[in-house]
Amino acid sequence: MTTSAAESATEAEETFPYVRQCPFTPPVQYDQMMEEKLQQVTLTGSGLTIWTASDYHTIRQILTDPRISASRKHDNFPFYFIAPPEYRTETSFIGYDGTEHTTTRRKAAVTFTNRQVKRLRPRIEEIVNEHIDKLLALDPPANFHRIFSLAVPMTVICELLGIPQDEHDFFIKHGTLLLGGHSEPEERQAAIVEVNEYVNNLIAVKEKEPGDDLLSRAMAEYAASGEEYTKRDLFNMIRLLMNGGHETTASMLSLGTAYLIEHPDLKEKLIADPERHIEGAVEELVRIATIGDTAIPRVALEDIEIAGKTIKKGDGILCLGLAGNRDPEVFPEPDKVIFERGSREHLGFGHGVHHCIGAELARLEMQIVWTTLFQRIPTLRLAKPFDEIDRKEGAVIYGLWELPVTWDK
Amino acid sequence: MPKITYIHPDGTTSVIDVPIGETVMRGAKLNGVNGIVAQCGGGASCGTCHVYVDDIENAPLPPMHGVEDEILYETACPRQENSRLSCQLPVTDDLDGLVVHMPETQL
Repeated sequence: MTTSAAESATEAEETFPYVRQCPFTPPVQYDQMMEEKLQQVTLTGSGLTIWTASDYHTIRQILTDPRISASRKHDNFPFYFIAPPEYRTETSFIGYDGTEHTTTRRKAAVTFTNRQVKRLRPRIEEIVNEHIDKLLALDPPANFHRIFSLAVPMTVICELLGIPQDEHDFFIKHGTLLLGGHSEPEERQAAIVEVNEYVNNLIAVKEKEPGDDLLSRAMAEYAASGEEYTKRDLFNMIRLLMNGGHETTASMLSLGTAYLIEHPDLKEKLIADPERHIEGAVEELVRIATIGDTAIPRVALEDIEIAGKTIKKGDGILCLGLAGNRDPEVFPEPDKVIFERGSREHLGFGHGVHHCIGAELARLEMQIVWTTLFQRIPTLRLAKPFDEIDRKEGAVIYGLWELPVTWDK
Repeated sequence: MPKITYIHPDGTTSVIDVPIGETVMRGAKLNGVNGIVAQCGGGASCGTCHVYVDDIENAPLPPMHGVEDEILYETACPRQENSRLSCQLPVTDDLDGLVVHMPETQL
């Protein structure tokens, strides 16, 4: 059967995920969807028909309803790309429910509490400054995304996990394959195998010589709770934290930096009084970009009445944070970044028991970057019009493939 | 259904029947009891569902794990001997009659 280009275009428009109008403006389809709160869409890749939730309160309700599962094992789990079988089973706690979720997440969560994260501030400041030095040592223009945005969070998460510096490139490459929109299914599968082999070796090292790192602490937490871990538990956890800990923050660093450059009034306001504005600025940039818009998938375990509709047992659901974060009743003038409202009530880090484990770490990294970057490079600007920069449409974590910048030497 | 008593900072009380399987936090949130914010929705990440538990020595609560312990050092109102995160307290029959005091502020 042949399909004309026009028909293909229509088809492409009709399958989900839809294309954002700009990285900070939801797809046009969202206006209508937000009025309906819950609606059915057809997914790209899997072709499944699933529900999308696009209303702030509906999303929060779904994400705290124990009748709704995060397990990837369900047949209708809303994958919108071809997922290797490991994506269903080797998920670690992001794909667990109930007690299994709580007990597994706990092993890692001790490292990410606000109190623990605050202790990292001096070291993160050092890492940020070192990477600004690296950028400034180059002749502009340079790709900020690769040199800075990917490298800073990767350095932080590797130090936290106990992974040596010289392995960072390996993880950047594999992280992009696992979460990026440009990889092939075979590449994703091979990446899982390679990362697992690496982490397997690392576990052997830490078992012999525990260090001051997450992996060693997680093993100690297992011992303290009288539970035995398998290597599979640990390498799935590490792979989850590695992906969650760098790709996401990297995306936000590039998007937020571009947003501030493109909005000089906000940038100047932030530079003038970072102490007053930085926390609000970070919350608002996370809200306006909501990079995990298509990254909160669920499946109903029972028939559930919600927002006047019935989600049937087994139906897949995607909670569209980008839409929920535009609810004008919760965030008046939702398309504007308003530092002063600086609310943590947004859905940018999710909601409920699966709320981003690394939210405090990500916040701290962004706060440090945006208080330091423009102070040190006041002339930092884009080296290419923002609307010509290649975006990660259709990726699990939204972002930019590059961010060409320049500055006065 | 187990009854949980929530005592507000001004001394007023809300007595709520909380279904088994919910948490002490969700019992408040689902019934419009102000005083528990639960910003993260139960992820043990934000420390805004802090409560002080009456007679904690005799309350049949699950043991406190490392994460909850860590977070309780960072709550808006100071931690006391009887501090817990209400999102980490699943409601069971044993919890019938539990009394929790809500702090002056969660933020």
